[in-house]
Amino acid sequence: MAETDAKSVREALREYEASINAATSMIRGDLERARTMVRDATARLSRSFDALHNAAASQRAALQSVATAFYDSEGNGRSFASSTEALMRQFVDEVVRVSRDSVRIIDQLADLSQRVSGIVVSADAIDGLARETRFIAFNARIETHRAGDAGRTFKVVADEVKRLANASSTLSNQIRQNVSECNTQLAQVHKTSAGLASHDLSRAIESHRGLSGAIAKLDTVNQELDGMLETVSTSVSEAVRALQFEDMVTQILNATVQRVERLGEFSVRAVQIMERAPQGDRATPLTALVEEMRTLGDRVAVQQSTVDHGSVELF
Amino acid sequence: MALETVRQSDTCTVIKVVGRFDFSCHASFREAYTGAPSGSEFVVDMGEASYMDSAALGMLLLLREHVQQQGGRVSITNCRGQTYDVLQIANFHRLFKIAQ
Repeated sequence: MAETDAKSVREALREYEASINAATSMIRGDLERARTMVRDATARLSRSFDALHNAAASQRAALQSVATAFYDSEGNGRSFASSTEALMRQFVDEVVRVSRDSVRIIDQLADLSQRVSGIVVSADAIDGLARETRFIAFNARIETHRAGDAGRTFKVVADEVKRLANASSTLSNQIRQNVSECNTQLAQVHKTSAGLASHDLSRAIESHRGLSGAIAKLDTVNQELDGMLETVSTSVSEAVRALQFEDMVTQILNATVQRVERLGEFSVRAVQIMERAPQGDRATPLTALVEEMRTLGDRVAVQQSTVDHGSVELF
Repeated sequence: MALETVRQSDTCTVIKVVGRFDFSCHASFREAYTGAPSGSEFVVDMGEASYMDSAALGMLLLLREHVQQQGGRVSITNCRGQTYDVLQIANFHRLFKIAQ
């Protein structure tokens, strides 16, 4: 009867040992899976953050190259903005120079016009002289009539004087006509020069203002971009540092695996004591075993060397 | 467009521009300075000018040449709005004493 009982106990103990081993290996497998999952997830997150960081950096480089093309902070005159500004300034200078020269031409035309008016006065004076000469010729002719035959030759002279006076009048008329044509042409030059002198500068001002505005805006965007990229960079570094929890989780899982294995070991040893030691000699090794089992509750130090220096006791 | 010329003293002439300062002012503007005694100081008052174009800039440059030959001085006062912008874009600050 007692032998049968002892046999049953042995069988039960063996089954208990097998169950403990099975449970231990199952827990070890689960913990190993958990460790793999954490490692994979961390690696994936780390890659994502790296990609995010790189994308932000290339975005910054692309925008900076655009900004540099438009605006050169060193002002060495090669950038699009500064060369456009220089071109605009050159254009305005040229317009102003042409205007000044056109106004100067018009001033000179006014002086010229005054001199031309002087020619008309001279032509009028010639007319006056011709009138007087004609009058003298007319009087001379009357005198030749009175003189009869004696005055015949003098009549030829008087006619000649009249012809010369008429020729002078024709000449002064021609001068007047030429002056009139000259005045028409002067008026034309005046009109053309006035057109050359007059340019509206509003559009140049608008363009200049637009360009300055665009440069200022780019400058602001560039500064904002620097700030944003700094934030992204800081956040990514923070995230990458936070990912180091994987290390801590792995340490805890390792400690847990060790603990579970030791628990199994203790159980096996307890079974062996129960199985092999004679009935009166079980208490001493069991007490020693229980004493040893107390060390299972000792804390495990988790190293946190990278997040911040020193170690933190989590268990 | 209109010009009011005030001979403040024997040595100072104020040319006040009213409305548009463009080519239409040319004759009276020239008259305003050619008759002044040599060595005169000129003040172009833009307080009531609403607009100026490149012809006005050309006239101002010729006034400056005239004044420099005569040993006088020229300044532009009361510039605002469009007239101030035009003077600025033409870089007239390098050539004239300009007051807003």
